[in-house]
Amino acid sequence: MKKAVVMLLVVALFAAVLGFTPVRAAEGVVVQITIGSTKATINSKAVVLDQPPLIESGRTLVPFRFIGEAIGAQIGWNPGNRTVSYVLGNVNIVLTIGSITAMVNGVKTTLDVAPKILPTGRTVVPIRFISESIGAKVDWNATTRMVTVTVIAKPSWSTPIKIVLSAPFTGSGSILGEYCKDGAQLAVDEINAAGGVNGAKFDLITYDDQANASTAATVVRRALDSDKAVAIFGPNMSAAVLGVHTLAQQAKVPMLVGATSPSLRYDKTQNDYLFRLRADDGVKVAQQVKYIVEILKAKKPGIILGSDDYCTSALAVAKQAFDKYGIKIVDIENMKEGDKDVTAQVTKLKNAGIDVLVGLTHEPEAAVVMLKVRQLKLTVPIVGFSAWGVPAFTDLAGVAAIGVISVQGFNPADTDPTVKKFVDAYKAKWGKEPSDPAQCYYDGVYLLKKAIETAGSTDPVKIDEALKTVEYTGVQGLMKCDALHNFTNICYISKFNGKTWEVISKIP
Amino acid sequence: MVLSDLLQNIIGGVTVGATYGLIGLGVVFLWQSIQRINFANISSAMLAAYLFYTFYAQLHLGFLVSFVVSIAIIAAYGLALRYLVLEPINRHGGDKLEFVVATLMLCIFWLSVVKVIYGGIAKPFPPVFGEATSFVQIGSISIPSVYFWIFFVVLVLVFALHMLLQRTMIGKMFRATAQNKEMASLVGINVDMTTSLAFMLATSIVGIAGILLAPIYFVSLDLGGGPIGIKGFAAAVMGGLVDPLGTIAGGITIGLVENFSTLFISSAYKDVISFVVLVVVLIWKPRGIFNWTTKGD
Repeated sequence: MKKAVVMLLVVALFAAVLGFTPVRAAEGVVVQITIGSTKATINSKAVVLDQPPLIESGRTLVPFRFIGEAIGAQIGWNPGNRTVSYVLGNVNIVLTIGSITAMVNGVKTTLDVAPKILPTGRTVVPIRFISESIGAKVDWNATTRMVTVTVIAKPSWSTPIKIVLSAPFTGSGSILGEYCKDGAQLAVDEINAAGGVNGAKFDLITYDDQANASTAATVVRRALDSDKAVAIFGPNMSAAVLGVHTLAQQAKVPMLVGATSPSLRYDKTQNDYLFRLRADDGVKVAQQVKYIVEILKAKKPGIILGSDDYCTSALAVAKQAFDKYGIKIVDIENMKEGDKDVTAQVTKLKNAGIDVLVGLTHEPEAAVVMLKVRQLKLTVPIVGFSAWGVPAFTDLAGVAAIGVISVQGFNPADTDPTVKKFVDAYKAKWGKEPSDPAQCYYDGVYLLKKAIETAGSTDPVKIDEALKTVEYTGVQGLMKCDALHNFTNICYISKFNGKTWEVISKIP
Repeated sequence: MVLSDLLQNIIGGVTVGATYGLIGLGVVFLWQSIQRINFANISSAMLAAYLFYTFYAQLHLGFLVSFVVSIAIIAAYGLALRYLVLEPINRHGGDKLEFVVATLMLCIFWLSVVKVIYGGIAKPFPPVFGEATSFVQIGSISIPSVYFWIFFVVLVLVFALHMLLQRTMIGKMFRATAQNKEMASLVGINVDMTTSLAFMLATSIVGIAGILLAPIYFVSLDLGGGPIGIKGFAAAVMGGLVDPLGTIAGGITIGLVENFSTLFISSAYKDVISFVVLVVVLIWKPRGIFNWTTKGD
């Protein structure tokens, strides 16, 4: 009894393995036939036809079995209906002998010439129609009377394009993993529903990198070695990216990140495989200072500063920016991540006579500062860095956040139709409003799709080449890779009214 | 620097410092009872805050119910701490070091558990002690309403504890056990009961401190480890590890020092200065700032 069960399992296993062989597209096939000649080539290998191709009504007809096998399709012939069928990937073509009506994936199409059975008994079909229906290129050389069919190597629906997202779901600091995943998954699902990328679907695998470099390294290695991803999205935290981007470089697989530290710019990393999907902090701080000086016309800025790299790099850029305007920073007060009592700091800022408070901290510290600012009645305008423009801050600060101005990478209240379409789709699918950086991963997946289509291949090296030149207009406007490998510099200056952020200006 | 600025900082320092003192009391009670340092002391604060948040903000159970149930659970947790951590360690011949390591790991464990269940992002505490932006204005001094609650609760708690320890039989048994365990059991005191009581008191007091601090610290992982735990421990040390009043005073001192060092020196060196002050106090008054020890070192 036991032996029989084992035998049954072995047989079932074999059947499963054999039965699931997917119908694959031929890998990079080039077929050449010449009118009137029985000599043809498939990938430069000589083949003899039993029927020479002929031209009728300006269209070239070839033996139906030959072209089917050459392009790698599954051929069907139904003598009852006199139909010829080809199945390749997710393309299904049905032709009827003597009829100019054909069916492609169930859709009726009209042919210029009908397939026919010749007096020799051979069945011939129009080569251009069949080839182009499966996405191949057809070239005609009038001099040599040669037809060249090029089938581009590409994955089919059943062999999806693997992409990996590394995002922080646990760990310290800003936990933005949900936004990253929801943005990317929305794009993947939209693209797959619309037929995928050249007929192949995206398969998105998400991992938690815990916002630290060593876990991110494990994730990236798994993506490269085990999942064989053609592209990696994230990590989202700059510290994690700094620890792993060279892995992508060595493996020659593109890495597209939402991380915003200026130290990830191309001039610092020299990594041809690293790209950034949203405006970096340097750009944002520069805009923040520009607004403070040019619009608010402030002359005596005071800064409340956090202690980690995100804050101190922002300070460096802010100092430079204020310097350029010839404005001296009147007072800088420090706080550490986790500090909850800033009575003394805010007291000192108040006494220093500042006319604007520049917030360069993370979200919880921003909330602590704003509660104290309201308590001690510091009434100057408050202009905060990107962490001051997100729900994680406004939820904690509550009404204390009303009137705060912040530089943001994304504002869901933007009335631009592309932004609105994204926000509505995101809300419909996930039941909540998107927040920075959901939009950059959403754009990123579409950007990758365009790069794959441009490259005509899912070879990561070719995708990388395409990413450097491709242009895509997404939620963040026109995205194009610049010299620093940043795809966009878009940011908003917005003011919180208690419920939403009103856009004051959108740059560019 | 105006007088009102000074007063404002004093009020802030004293209030937050008093809560450090409450946390320190958790350390003191356990030290008194079992001569061990509980490095997961601060976890009770975080757990109580999250429990209260769950009952009040998520299950809408009302303030009193949420508060009482949360603290009851934390008290039970204290008992569990004794029977599931201390006793097994003692049974297997473990000593001070083993307990330290075990409670250190427990502290990290609770941080992970909370992170997995509630996520890592801080949540606003429901406005049970008044809105976060509701302030009482006295002249040019502005005091958040939650500060009044903290003052009030700390006062009541300290008073109640004082009464318990000095005026009740149980308090007497407590103090006797703390002085000399063997002698106490020889005169018929149920040492087992006083030990359990100590555990439950320790976690409950810290739990109450956690709920009081949650409006300021937010319902966050910050309540469960790191700087605040250390400040509570420092407050306990300032009380010689035995004196409740000294512990509260120690906590207040720390709160004031933090504020003044930022005010008069620099916000960048706040923690360094606090640390230096702690060391100085330890050297100057090793037996607690009130020099009031009820037992030898």
